[in-house]
Parts: sequence; C-alpha cells; structure tokens
Amino acid sequence: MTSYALESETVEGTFVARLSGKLDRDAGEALESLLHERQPPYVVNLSAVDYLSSSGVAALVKLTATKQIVIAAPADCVVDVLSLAGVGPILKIVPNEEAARESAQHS
Amino acid sequence: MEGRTLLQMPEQVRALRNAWPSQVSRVKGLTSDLEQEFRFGQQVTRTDQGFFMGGTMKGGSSSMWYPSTKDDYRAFRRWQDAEGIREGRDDEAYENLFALVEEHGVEIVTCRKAHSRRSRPDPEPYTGYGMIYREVYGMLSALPAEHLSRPELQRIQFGGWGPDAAKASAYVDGTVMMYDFACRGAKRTFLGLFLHELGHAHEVALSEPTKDLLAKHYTVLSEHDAFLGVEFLVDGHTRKLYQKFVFNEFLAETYMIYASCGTALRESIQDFPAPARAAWEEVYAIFRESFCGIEYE
Repeated sequence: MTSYALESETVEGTFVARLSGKLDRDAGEALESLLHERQPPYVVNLSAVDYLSSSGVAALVKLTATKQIVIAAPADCVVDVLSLAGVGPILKIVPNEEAARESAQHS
Repeated sequence: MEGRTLLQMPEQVRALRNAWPSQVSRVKGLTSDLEQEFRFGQQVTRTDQGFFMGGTMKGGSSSMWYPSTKDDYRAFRRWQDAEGIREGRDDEAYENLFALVEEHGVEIVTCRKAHSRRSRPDPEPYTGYGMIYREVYGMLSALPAEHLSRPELQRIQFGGWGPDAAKASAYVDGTVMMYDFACRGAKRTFLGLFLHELGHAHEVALSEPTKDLLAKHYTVLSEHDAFLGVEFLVDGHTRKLYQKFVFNEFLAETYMIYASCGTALRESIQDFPAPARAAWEEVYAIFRESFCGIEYE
C-alpha cells in the first residue's frame, strides 16, 4: 500500500501535479517520473501533503533545479521542514495553485 | 611545505569528508528508511495511545506524527546510541569550553526550557550537554583565535527555538544558534551545522572587496556546477544545489568544508575542469588568508 496519492491535469497550459499523504522517497520518485513525461511549465500542489521526509526535500530541490517547478500551497508543517532543511530560499513557493500557475507561466 | 600551518579538527568532524556510513548492518532493527528518517531528525515516541514517529518543531507549533511500532521505537533508541547526541555531564569539557570562550569574550547560553516562540536563556548554562561541549571545544580550539575574538561572534546558544521559521540552526546578529532540533539529533548533523553557522559569522566579517572577489569566482563555479556537497541533514547533492542558488550559503558551507575536510577539498579542487579549478584555487587562497594561513587536514 502506498502512503501517497498523485493526481495530475493540465490547466491552461500548465502541468499541475497534486500530491497527498507522505512525500517520501517513493512519492518523490513518482513525482519525478510523472514530470519527466510532461512538458513545462510545472506546478506541484502540496496542500494535502502531511509528511515530508529528507528524500522528499531532496526531490523538491532537484525538481526545482532541473524542471523549475513552482510549489503551491504547502501546509505549515511542510514549510517548517523545508525551512529546517535550509532549502526554503531556493524553492519557489506560492500560497495557492492559481498564483502558482501564473508564476510558472512567467518563469 | 615550509611555513605551512596544518591543523586537524576532531576526528568526528573530519569524518564529514566521507559519505555518511550506514548503521543498518550494525544496529538491530534499523532499516535504510528508518535510518534516513532518524538522521533527518525524526524520532519515535511512546505514548498512551501507542508509538508514533515524527518530529515536533518549534515547541510543538508544527508537527507531523505517524503511527509507529515498538520495534521501530527500539531501533530508534539503538540508533540514538550509535549516532545521536546523548545528554550527560562532562565537567572537564564544560570547564575547558567555558574558559576558552571567556578568554575571547564569547558568551555561551543554553535554552532548555524554551517551549514558546521566544527562547529565554537558562539562569545557568545546562551542564548536561557534555557531548556537545566536548565537540564544540575541539572545533573552536582548532580555529584561529581571531575567529573567536571578533565582533561577528558574540554568543553561542544551545537549545531553544528561533524567533521566525523553524530551523535547525541559525546565525543572527553575532549569535550562533543551535536549536533544540540540532542538539537532540544526529551528532554528525550538529557538527556540520555548527561549523556552517560559524561560517556565516565569517562571511559577515569578510570585507566587501573580498566578497566581491569571491562572488566573481563563485560565478565561474556556478557555471560549472563545481560545488562540494558534504552529507549532513540533507544529502550532499542537495547541499551542492543549495550553494549554487545562494552565495552566502556557499561562503558558509565553504568555511565548514575548509575547516573540516581540508585534504579532501584540496584534492577535489584538482579534479575540477580548468576554469573551475582556477576559480577554486583563488577561493581557497582567500580562505587560507582569512584563516590566518592555517590549513586543515
């Protein structure tokens, strides 16, 4: 049984991945594979993620560097972990999905 | 080499140059996934409702807890024995450290009872951070005296939480802060973070012309992805990317690497392609000068 769920759709030209549950190694790899198959720009909605592991942090950093993802609506606990790991300043984090799509379109 | 001063950081600090060796085969019940979680600061706690894995940050304002098991709890306790910071007194280390910092006008405070957003120092420094005091004394002793006596380092705080975002550690206004998270987690992470935060004190102390020069070389390093990643808290690759995005973080991380992994740094520089190697040689020379000519094994 997986501890995460991953859904996606293209909204007005932006590929949006919505993750829920745990963002751990498995979820990070699944997210990376999913984005690899699609065209940019990308938004990753983390509003329903309630657990972020170090592998999840690494996946977000890697996808930011390689795919220029915009992260939408992370919960406070997720933001805290990103801050804890010291990577907050290098990620593009936007409070809601609509603004994230707009940001992704212009990045 | 004539006139060369080569010093050595404590053994566990120098171990940062190597990949973080797994304890899975040595610690009963530990799996790769559990090890990764524990090294990232997750803990397993026993409650009336059973066992839970998670990490409370910032005095409980944000936490993520998942149901766990008694076996995982036991594995966590064993992992703590192998890699974690365990509390206990070390009076000799305490006396050595406090004498050293007093000599340089640096204050040490502990914030053991900080459960609110603002940490208040304990009336007297906590004596139970013996393991931390021992390692910190070892690191500070190996640094140039000038790095301890400058205005950019006035205070070191152990325990407590930061005033803003949840962090493991920080450097703010002359204070190196090692928060509860850092003081209760993996020893390796503490060591790396402590030198990294001292690195922020260092980069603040650098003159603007020196920083401009470093920024010029940093641009070359960024173009060639020529950064070094030391694994603690997050993996080495993530720490490399972190430096690529933020110049000040590159400076702080380079301070840590310069002092803890000197030989490995010098060897790595030789492995980079020519433009990056030349830039690194300049960066290394600037750091050597700012370390008063001291180099490290």
